Amino acid sequence: MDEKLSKALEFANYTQTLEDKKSQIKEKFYQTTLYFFAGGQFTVDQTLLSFVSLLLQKQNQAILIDDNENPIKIDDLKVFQDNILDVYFQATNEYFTDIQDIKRKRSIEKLVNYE
Amino acid sequence: MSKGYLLIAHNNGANDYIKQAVFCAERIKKFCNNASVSLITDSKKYLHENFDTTIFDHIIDSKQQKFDNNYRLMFDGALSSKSVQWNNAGRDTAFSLSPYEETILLDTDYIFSNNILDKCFGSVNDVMMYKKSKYLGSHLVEEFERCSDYSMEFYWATVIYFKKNNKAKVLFDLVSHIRENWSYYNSLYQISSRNFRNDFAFSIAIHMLNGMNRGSFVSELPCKMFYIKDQDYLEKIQEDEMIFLLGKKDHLGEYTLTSTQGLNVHVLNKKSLERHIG
Repeated sequence: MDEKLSKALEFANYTQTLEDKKSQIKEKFYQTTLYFFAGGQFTVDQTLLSFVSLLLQKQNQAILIDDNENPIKIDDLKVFQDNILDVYFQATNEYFTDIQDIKRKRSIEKLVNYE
Repeated sequence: MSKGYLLIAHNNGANDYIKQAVFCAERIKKFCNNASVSLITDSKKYLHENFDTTIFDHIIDSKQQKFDNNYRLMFDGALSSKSVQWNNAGRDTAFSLSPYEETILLDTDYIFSNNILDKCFGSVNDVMMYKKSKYLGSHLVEEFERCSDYSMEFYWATVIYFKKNNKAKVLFDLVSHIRENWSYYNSLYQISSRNFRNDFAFSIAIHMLNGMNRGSFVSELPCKMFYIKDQDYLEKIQEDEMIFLLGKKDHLGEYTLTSTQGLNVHVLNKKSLERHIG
């Protein structure tokens, strides 16, 4: 096979693995943004964080709708906010670190830790 | 409230589901803080003679319900396949056989690398299953979105959370009825394969219990069901990392490497999984 073609195909394999890896890191990020509370499941995103912050300006108790559309009673919104902030910081930090990590890896073997 | 994981293992001569169940239980214990795991099987003798059974909190004897001519072409990578008897009937008996008030019923080829499912215990939902799934490769797989082109949404029976209450009982009883009348429901819902398949039976039952519509009779489990196909290979498992060889679309026998960390994965290539268990 032509050397240029074989190098291109090799690179195509690398980009394929890189794309798959990025996609899995993103899925892992979504998973780590889940917060379970009082039998409900909440995806911690900018919307939830802003909404809870807004609610806290008025009261410390609220009913929130979880990911499965169940109404969940939150008795202490401040504690809930602290917890979801922790989840958000941890998830985004991990996501950032994982993405930085794969940017440095220039071979398929390194990308998948198969050395 | 008692809670735990429940596995079903009926060997078929081609796959060692008992071996897979022991491995699956070890992974659950490892990642889910030593959670309770029980096994439903018809091969108690084989289990006791070959494996450490202390991994299971309960071993429940159950005769397998066989489906005649329920053969399935099982691949081991893109270039190797074998037609095997598919002993998948009897999942509907899990409701009555489960020793727990809150159960997570699992396929033995569902490999744990995190504790996300453990967080489902104590949920306000009565029944939860996966509807959203993601193939680990980058090409789109539409096979698991609907049961057929003109049929209802596809639910995975691979992982089922249920409480021992009337709502869950209705679902499992209906799945039982669908299994007993499979050829009728198979035609009615225009399923392309004649084989009985739990995913289809549960999807049909959920569709019926939603009033022949989409609905919320069953809630969704957290995140997505991640899977590889039986045309792909599991290459390595180490702690919470797994490495896979994924078949290239339209390039039979060619693969690309990928890996996951901290994701639970449904490994449809059972032969490949068994090779890694050792």
